[in-house]
Amino acid sequence: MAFNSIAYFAFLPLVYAFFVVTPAKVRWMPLLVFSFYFYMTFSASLAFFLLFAILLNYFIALLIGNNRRPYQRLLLLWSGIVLNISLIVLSRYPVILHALLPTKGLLLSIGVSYYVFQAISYLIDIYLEIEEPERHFGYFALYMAFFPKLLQGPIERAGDLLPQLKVKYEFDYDTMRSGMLMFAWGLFKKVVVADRLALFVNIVYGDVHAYAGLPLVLATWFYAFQIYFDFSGYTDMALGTARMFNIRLTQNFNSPYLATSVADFWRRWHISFSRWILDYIFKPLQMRWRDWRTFGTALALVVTFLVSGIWHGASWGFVAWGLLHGIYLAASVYYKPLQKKIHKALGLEKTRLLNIWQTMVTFQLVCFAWIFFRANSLSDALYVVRHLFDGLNGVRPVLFAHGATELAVALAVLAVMLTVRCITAMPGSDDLPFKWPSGVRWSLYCVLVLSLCLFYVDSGRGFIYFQF
Amino acid sequence: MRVRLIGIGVCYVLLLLFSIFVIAGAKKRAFGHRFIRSDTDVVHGELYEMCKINRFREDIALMKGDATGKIEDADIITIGDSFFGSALASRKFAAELEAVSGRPVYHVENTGKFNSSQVDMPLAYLESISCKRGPNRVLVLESVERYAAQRAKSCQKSWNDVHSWKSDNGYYKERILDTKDIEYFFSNNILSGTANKFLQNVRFDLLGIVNLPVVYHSEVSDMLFYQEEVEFNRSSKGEETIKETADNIACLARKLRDRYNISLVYVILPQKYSLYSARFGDPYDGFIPRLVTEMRKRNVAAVDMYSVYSAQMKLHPDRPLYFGSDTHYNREGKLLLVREIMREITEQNHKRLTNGI
Repeated sequence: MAFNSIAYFAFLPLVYAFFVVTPAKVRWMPLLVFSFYFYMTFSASLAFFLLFAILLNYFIALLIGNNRRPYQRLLLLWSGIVLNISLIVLSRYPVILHALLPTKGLLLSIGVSYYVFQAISYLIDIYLEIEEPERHFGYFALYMAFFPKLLQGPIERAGDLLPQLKVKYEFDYDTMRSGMLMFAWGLFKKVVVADRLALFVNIVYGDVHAYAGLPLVLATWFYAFQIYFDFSGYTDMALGTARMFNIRLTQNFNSPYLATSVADFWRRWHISFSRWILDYIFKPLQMRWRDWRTFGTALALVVTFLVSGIWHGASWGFVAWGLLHGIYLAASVYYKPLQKKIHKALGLEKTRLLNIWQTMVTFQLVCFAWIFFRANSLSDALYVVRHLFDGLNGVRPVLFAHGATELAVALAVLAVMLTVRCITAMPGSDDLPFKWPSGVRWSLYCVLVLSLCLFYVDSGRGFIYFQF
Repeated sequence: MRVRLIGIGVCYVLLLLFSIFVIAGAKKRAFGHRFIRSDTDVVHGELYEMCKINRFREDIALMKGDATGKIEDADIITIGDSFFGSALASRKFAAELEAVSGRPVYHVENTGKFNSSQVDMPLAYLESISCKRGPNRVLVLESVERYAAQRAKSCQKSWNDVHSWKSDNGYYKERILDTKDIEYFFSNNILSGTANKFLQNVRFDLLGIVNLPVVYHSEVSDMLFYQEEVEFNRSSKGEETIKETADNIACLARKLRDRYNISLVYVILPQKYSLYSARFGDPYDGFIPRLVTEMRKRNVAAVDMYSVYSAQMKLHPDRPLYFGSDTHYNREGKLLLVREIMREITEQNHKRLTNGI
């Protein structure tokens, strides 16, 4: 039951009705029940993983919280972390599970790593006494399983989400309206933009050996936008749904392709995940290797992003993608002082020209890494890399494969997204549609709904990040 | 403010009622059927059903009548995918073959008894029914071209493999968890289904957009295609794949002969898009002829229906062999297949069977 499915639209009003009519003290119940139901529509067996993770972390957190002996607390923390990570490994690498258990069920690791990452951060926060352990099992279970963020995040910190789950719900017109609009906008990003771009990307990446040169470049650029609109569309829908229940989740994207460096890109892309790996992998490693100074930082970056690549799945492509980002960042550690000197010498410091140049270079670096992320295998990715500059032919069949109308619509929606980005980047544009006169606002709503109806692509595809 | 809240409340209640209607209609079939229009003896083409665009709607009669042979005394056994199961404007393939050959034909239906597809694992199926070695029989095994290579890999699986494969998929979604029925009911009931159909037609009339997985090319305006077919046509099929597939089928043929005294006639049916792709600048890569050549090199009796249909289309360009709104062949296409199968059986000199045909 993906966010862009009819079933989700049918269930959401029903869940809301149960939520509203339930007494305030037990309002977590309908949300928790539906969260499990929502998850089980993807994989019934994985619900046991979720339940296990909830029980495990609930009790370990209580044990850590109640224990005053540092050694035992540390032991509990590490056993919690190891057990949590083993959940990811078992779901992501089912071969191990098959070896341990007699069942050979096909297991999809939908959402596991997101709630496991959230659980690990919770345990660490309890250990560091940043947070108190949650004693109410219902609220804790809902914190772990809350359906809008269950499958693809955002990875929420306990301090941000748990208190909101306990606040008494009161209907607020503005919040509901902004939630619905956010959801509709996310849906537009997914079904009109991302799925349309996928039509072109899949032709080329489905059979890369049939193409060379410009079609490969175009497909990679299109993929960069596809994955962004796919993932940020999902996030908007997640945030929008949560907002309908008066819950604010963390923003996960901030115009990542306008980043002026790869480090800046990671501050804008999948923000909750970037923060997580920065706090829980990079910083401890950097501390451990601090005696090695710059080399230690560079190595910590490479290892952190290598882990990030491996986290994405059992594929050499993901490993290469993570390693590339690690190398980009490690290189920038060494290059940055020199870069500053060059910019100063050329008189380019803080100029708009430099900004544009850096944005373009960063975008190309990120796109280059996406090749390894998208290609069906490492050999396919290497083929793409070797043939990126092999001429300009073969573009027309790709672009017109689905007809001129599809191409025109694809270009038009990209133009719309760019325009929206420009408008929202202007100062004072927060909550912009709601500041406009109601006539303009309602016209916009109608255009949005009409565009969804007319231009959606019924691809039947899930979200790209579901698999992680 | 009060008026606004009342308005919101009314909208929400209507939305809630509609949600309940959709969920109840999907999950409670007896209730849902009251709100879905359906014909029992006429269909309109599966591709039409996917895209709902009136222009492509055809009325295709569903024909009754199966082959009458029993597995024990049949001279010819047929196992195939939806092409063999199709009864669109003509009886099922096995019934037509029985009528033409005058010999008892047994068609293996996909029943609940055998929980995997027989066409994927014919050996396992024969094991599962405890088939005995007997007088020489012919097995006509059919696959649509896009699944041929994949099926050739699984076709030698034994019953034990199937048994464990079945438990591989150890969990079955309870009916309550399945949401496909909600999607179906929403798209087909008299309320939202009608609105959905209207929307699809507006999209088509204004923009020429047809919902995936249906592909529409204005160059051949009366035909819809299936996206999987188009993608298969465009994918590269290397010689290694072709040879491996031929090897697997040859191995299957040997096992069938050794274990059951069954002679295999293998048929790969072309997809509609393969026959028409050249009109859209998508050349056909000759997958079927190439595979049939390799199979014949390995002494497998195989029928090249791509070449047969192509020749027929050149001869009679105005007579379609496939339905415009469906992925399957029409009566003429089916009868051509029957003719070719009979020719192959005769040519391969399956003496016991072909004496007197």
